Amino acid sequence: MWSYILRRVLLAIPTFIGISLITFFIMHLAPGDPATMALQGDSIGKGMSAANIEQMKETLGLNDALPVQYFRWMKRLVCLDLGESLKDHRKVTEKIWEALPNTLLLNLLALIVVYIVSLPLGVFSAEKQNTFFDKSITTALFILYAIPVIWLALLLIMLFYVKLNWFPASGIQSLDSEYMRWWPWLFDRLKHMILPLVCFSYAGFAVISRYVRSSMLEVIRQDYIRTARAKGLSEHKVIYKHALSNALIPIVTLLGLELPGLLGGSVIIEQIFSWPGLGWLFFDALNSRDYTVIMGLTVFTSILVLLSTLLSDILYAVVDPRIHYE
Amino acid sequence: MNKKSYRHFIFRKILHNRLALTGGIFIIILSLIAFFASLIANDKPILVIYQNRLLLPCIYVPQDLKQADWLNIINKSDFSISPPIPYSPIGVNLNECLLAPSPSHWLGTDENGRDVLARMIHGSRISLQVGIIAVGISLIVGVYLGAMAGYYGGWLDSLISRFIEIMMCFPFFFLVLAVMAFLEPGIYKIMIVIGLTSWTGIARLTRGEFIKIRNEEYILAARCLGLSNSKIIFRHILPNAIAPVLVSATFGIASAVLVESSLTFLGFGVQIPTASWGEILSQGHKYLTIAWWLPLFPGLAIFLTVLAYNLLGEGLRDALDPRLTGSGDSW
Amino acid sequence: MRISLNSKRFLTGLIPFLFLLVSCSSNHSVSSNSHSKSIHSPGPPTYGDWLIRNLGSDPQTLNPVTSSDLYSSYVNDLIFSKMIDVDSDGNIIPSVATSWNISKDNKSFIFHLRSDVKFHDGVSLTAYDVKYTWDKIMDPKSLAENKRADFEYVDRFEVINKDTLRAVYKIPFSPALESWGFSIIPKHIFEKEDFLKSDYNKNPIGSGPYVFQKWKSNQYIMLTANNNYWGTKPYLKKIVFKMIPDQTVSFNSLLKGDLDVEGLTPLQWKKFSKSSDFENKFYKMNYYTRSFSYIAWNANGRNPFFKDKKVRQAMSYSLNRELIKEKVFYGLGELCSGPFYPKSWANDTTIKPIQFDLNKARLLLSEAGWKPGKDGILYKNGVPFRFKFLLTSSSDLGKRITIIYQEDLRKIGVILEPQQMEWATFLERIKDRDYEAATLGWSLSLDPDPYMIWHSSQIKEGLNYVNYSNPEVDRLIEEGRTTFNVKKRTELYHRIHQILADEQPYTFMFHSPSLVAVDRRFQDVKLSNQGLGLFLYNPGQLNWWVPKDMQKYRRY
Repeated sequence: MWSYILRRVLLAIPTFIGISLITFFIMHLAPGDPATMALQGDSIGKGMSAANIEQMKETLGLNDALPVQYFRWMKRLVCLDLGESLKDHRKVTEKIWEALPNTLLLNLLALIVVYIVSLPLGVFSAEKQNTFFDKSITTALFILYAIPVIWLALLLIMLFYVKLNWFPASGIQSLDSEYMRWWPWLFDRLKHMILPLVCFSYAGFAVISRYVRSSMLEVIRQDYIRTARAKGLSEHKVIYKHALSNALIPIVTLLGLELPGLLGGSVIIEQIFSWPGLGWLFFDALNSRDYTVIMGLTVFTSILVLLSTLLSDILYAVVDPRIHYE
Repeated sequence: MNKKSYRHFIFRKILHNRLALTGGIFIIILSLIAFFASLIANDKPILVIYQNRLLLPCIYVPQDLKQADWLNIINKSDFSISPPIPYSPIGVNLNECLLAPSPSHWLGTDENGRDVLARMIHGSRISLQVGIIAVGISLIVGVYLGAMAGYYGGWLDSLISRFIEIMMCFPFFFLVLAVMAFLEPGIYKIMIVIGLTSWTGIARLTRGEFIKIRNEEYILAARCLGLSNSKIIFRHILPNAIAPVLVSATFGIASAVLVESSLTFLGFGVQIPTASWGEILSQGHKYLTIAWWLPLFPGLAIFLTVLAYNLLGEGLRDALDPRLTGSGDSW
Repeated sequence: MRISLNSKRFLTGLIPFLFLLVSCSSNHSVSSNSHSKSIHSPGPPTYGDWLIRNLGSDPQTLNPVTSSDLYSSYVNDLIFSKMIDVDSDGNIIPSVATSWNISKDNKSFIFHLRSDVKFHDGVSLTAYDVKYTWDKIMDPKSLAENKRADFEYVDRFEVINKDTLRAVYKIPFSPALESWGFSIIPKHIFEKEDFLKSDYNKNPIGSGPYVFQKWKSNQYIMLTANNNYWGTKPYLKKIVFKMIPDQTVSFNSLLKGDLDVEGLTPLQWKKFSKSSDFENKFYKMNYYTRSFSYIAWNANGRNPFFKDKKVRQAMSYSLNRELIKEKVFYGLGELCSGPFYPKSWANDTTIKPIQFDLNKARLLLSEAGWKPGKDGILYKNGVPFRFKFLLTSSSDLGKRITIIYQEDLRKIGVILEPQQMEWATFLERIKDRDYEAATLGWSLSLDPDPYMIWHSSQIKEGLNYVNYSNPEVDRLIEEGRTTFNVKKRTELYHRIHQILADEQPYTFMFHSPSLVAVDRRFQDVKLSNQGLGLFLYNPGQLNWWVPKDMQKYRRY
């Protein structure tokens, strides 16, 4: 097993280099560049003459040959320096670090909420397959899934912010949150979080509970369950001790794959709710061709993806004794 | 069970599942509407006798009438049959903008005076195609690669898994933007991008299932019997491995429809003046409280389509899964 | 206060390049919509309360030298002082510079500064800080290209003593004075820092009426009134800039009182703000900005169609601007007839915008040699009249205009093929002059000098994107920039206006209306006469105050 892990880690390095290379070249070859984007912000547009753009490109080092630029970036990366944003010259790590907790918090909570709700729902659906309960739960969850997020977000805002005034519609905290004591501060943060959280998680209920249900159904057909019943074990023990633990195997590995999603951040939700997360950061960087930030975010996501697939594969082998890697 | 009765068997199973049946019927109706969209909603007549010529403008327009004013022609014609919804999805009429649903415009008009129902009918093409193209691509690529990786293992597995990882690392928006930047933007290109970015999940699922199943006894038996690899893969392992993939695929189709509407909302989806549900929906975002029909109908349509696909997929999965067709075994 | 450039998607009703400068028009006063509720007791202004504005998105940086977007300037204008400022009539008024002299040959300016200006950390502001700021602007490494362009003709700028500075130009340059109103940065702070990466770019120290308090990235920026301000101390205790990009959400925030000021779209103005409830809560201001939208016809594009003046004129006649104004802008806004904004002295008001007339368009095209083919499309020498029309995917207005224009053009046999692109790609194409027609907008400076956009020298590398070259216009522009006599300049610019209106290198479209709602608890909210943003002239919001019993934010 350990040699397998070692091999995977070693293999991750060329994979990572491959990803960074491809991203780098796609970015640079796409039309548009950060100098033009930065200069066109002026209220008169005077800055956008070709001479000025050239000048800026020169200063930012964008006129060097692509491989040269790539190596420069790589060199800094090895020293754990992601460089500065080409838009506002702040350190990329700083910008990511600011947005990271917001996205992470929302995603993590959404994940927890989704799993807490979906697991029991999926198990019960499987238990009562084809009954009214199963059918109505299925339909209800699918209905929920089918609602377009823009719609839902707007509806939630209209209802809970405009009409009922229960929850705020933008930001992660109130203006005077710094002056609040512990408990009101927590409450304030939670209040701001609820609407985006709902938007983040509502689609997941259907997906995860379907997986759980499908996995349970599969396990229940197995011979060993029949044996357990024949042995006279209580139904309760059969389901929750024997079936469930086996059914959870693919779910656990699925969890491993959720990791990259944790840093995903949905651009739409973040923009509608003014939630300063990684989705917004990335989208903004893409639009302003902020190469360093894009590369920095790609590094982050790549590392996470590589880690999570490794984790997921390992978990799979650990949890299911039938699987082994040479 | 031979092939023919197997199909009948599956078919009957689905028929019995009322939810899946409803979903299936809805999709069929939608497909018909999409296919015949030009005949159902068009400002050109279906059939017209004009200047002693018999024309079928919805199907073919002769050269000299390409830019003609059809209202004029209908009035001057000897005989004409118009489609049930006599509006074009792209015909602008500023004097009729933002009208509420009425007998002349059943679903109202949008901000440019275009009939919403006509746009919805033509937009159904985009929505149906998005799901099919995107998921079609991801299924083909994902299942194939996943099967290869899971079955053969070894260095092939390593290679393919790394490839999957690389693809997974590319954020979706990055690729969408890259496509928009490099190529001339277009909804079909976006559909391909959606397909090419979502096959990784299916591939990993398939691979996982294959790894699990390849060591089962019946597979070992098949190998002993000397069956060729491809026969083992496609006839024996795949049907057993397909269940979670199908679940994934049905969600995939549904999510592709939703992704299209999100992309259009952000400005990357269909190009003007093409009609799509997502486009009407994003218009509706602006007019939420004064033109309720603009966000409602496309939202409803997206909603029902996604629901239908999911229900159908569930039914299909329940029917196909050989393990679930076992007799007797129940709680 | 809506900026289209950085928040791509959520600014409906705007065309790229168009800064919706919140500005004022002549006849509209604040209470033009005043109903029963009269302004609360006119008493002496009281201190206190906060003003909450919406920026839409994070500013690039709070270093006024390196920043190039309008968001930054909204914030920086409050934190930093300038030598000169602009008043509501568009006149240049003293700020840190109490007076200035122009030499007889019009080539030298001497500025006399106040001696009581202090930075927020207590250090005095002197001429050396001004010189330092200017040096930094001119330093290529500061990446302040957009500001450097203003000083192209400066020979030298020198400190005479700690209260006096002199700027010497190579040639007499009439638009010069305006450019000396840049924000002054503290020399004693920045000379020790890496200019681009300094922490002070996020925690600025200026000498303006407001002190920087904090900036939570993509959430809000908070400023507090400067108690040691050298000028009139502002009445509002704090100014907060929130970042809410979505227009629907921000409008609802305004209605609920979470925002005090917000720009409205024509739709919101027409449909949502008519209730007496709304009118009782908010002032509604409607005025024109110093900007206009247009369709650019590339005279040297891939096809030679738009080289011909008649073709361009025909294109302009085919755009139904009156109907668009009525349906898309709900009757707000004004048709544009030339390259100057309506209130500018350079604008020739006798020139009327082109009226929609498809028959005239047909006539002009046939005069230009375009004849209808068998399929109804216009042909000339066997080439059909098809062209590609560039617009950005984030501009709602652009899309609507394109859809309408496409239909009308089809009626006369011209096929418009829209090409929606993402903003950065769009800019690239424009920059490379690789387009046939595109829809854009310009935001103009106070001085109407049209050199950068219309002079033929700017074709290759400047802002003359349509390859427009007219020797007479060139001559008029050059003369205009070196003449200081306003009457003479007016004549020259009127002539330019006439020529451009005739030649239609652009189809000039609209002066978009700026529609702003302000919470009625603020008093002394006044508009500028000259199309200047509510927050872009002096004193602007610095004069606003809230009576004690109407103050909302009191605790901090």
